[in-house]
Amino acid sequence: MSKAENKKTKQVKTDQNVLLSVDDLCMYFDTKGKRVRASEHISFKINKGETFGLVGESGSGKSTIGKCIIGLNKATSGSIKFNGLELTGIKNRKEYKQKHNGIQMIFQDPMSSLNPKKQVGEIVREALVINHIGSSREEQEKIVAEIFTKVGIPTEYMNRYPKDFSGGQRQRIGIARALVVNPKLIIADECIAALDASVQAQIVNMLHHIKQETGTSFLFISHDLNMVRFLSDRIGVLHLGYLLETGTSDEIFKNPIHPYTKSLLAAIPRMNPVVQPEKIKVYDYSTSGIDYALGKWHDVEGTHRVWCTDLEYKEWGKQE
Amino acid sequence: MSDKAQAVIEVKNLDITFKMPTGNVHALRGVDFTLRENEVLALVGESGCGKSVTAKAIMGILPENGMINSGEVVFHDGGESIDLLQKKISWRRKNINGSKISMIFQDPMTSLNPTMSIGAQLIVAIRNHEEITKKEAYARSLELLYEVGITDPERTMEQYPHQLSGGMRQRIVIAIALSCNPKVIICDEPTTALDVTIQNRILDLIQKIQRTRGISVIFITHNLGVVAKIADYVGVMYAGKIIEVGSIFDVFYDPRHPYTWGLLSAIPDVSDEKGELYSIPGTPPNLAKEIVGDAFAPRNPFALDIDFKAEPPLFKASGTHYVASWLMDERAPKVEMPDNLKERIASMKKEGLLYVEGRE
Repeated sequence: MSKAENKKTKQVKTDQNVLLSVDDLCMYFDTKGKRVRASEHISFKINKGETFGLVGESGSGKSTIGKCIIGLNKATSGSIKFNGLELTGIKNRKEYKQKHNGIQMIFQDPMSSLNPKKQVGEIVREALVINHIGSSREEQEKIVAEIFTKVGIPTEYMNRYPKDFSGGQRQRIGIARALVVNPKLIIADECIAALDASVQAQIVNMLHHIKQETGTSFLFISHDLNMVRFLSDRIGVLHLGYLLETGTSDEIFKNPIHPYTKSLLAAIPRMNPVVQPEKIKVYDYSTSGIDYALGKWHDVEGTHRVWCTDLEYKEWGKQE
Repeated sequence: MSDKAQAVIEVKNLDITFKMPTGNVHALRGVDFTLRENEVLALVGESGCGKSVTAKAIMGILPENGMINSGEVVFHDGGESIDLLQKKISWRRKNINGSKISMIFQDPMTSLNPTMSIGAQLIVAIRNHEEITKKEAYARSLELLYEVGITDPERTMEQYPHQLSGGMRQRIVIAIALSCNPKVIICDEPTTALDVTIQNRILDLIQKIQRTRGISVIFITHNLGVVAKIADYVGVMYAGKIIEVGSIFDVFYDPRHPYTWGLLSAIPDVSDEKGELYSIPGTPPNLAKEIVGDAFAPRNPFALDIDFKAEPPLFKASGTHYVASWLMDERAPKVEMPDNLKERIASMKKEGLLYVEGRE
């Protein structure tokens, strides 16, 4: 085999491994005479079985990206490919159903995402009905019971209502609803933000197990950097709609290149009363002299990439 | 100076029930703590443990269905000691709230009036408590805005809350809280709604103001990282009680209560290696039902028989450190904290030493 051919097969292999690829995604919201640029030139990939964490402050466009993927927002330009199928520019419901099959979402507030008038067993079974899984009601109920055991809710609670559960349990039910249709990708938008620390740990451990057991990919959207680092294989840092830096958790946390990433990491409150972020150099986009619009991707090493201009890349490299 | 002389607020055996259509919820089951002068006391715990109820009781802003069954909130002010719970709400509003004790809430948007300019809100706050002219109040407002780190106070005075970012709004709320020179500020999750970089700046600001003005702060939060940064003393709350209280070093370096162990190990730190997170099994108890014994016992892997029968008193661990757990009784079996937490504390101490040496 010639070298070129070898390279080609390798290329195909890595492509097969990619579950979701977002390429140059732009999402603008046009309001009365004003254009809000929520996402600009976003590109990233999620491999099969991988967890990709999106971090950034509120308003940085984390949720917008999640919504674009699931189809709640119609992307202005760019492409989103899931399982090789193009998700942008979908014309009708049939096409939507066909192409989005395999993507599920877990929301932040389990109380507002579960129908208060329905029994939780029914809420989860509804997902099966919509997706035509299971031939009879009995069979579907059996599948629901299995998934309830998996997320740690006793099956005898299946005919209770959302109000009867605690926040953590409700989130488990939300996760059960997403899992029951065997999705390939789960978009978890701030799914632990509303939970208490001890319950957060339970849910995070559970997600971790599910990931290892089923090989489901996750897009984990969160502002909690510690949790993102803990749960994610790779991380993307968002600011003002731009994806500024991506890489594995270690690449980002041990060797941040972009000044914004640096300031973000430096600001994480530490669990140690002696070691605390003190006067960190505050990153201010307006005075930093950086113009995100001029940036392009620079490869650092491995999967580590930074969005900046050539000049900036050279400068930041020097400081290391 | 003795401990007594330094105390600013003493909460004694505070017990509060909420009347609900479904029955009574016993939200606070005997809370005791002392806030001393020039000190930051953090109350930490999960939602529903009674942190905010404690703050609201001190401020006298409990909802109407909140019944105070027993307890005292003694406020020490220049040799005078007043039990706030014995005073009328109108008296407290006039003489205490805002002028002696003020409060900062979680969401700055809801604590500011959206229809009033920032300047008008500051001036009203000042003139409510002091008889000064509008001009003087305006000058004072500018100073306050400058103190909370707003670089262009004149312009900000003209602006409305919706024109400002979340961090700026919280700065305004802090400025209003400071407007009448309070002795105590109660902060109820002031940075929870903010991003980490902004959170860090607001915490720096609160710390700076606390130190320069020498005021006392009760800081309510569920974020242990924030506690580690800001607090001198920590009270860990669970199911309407303080179950461990001590200096920041007592609680972070030598935690004794199994719940504190769980809390400390449930949150990943940046320095941690990946792996399984330690999680406390189960969920907090339903306070609508009567609790027998230690409220934490059903979730406690180290629970003793007596935990299910009798409520543990506060045991003294050291001069500043108190723990409500039967494990502290001298007859109890020796139980050590989980290994991963032990390792974590060891590495925390090591990192702390390196950090201090690095700075010297």
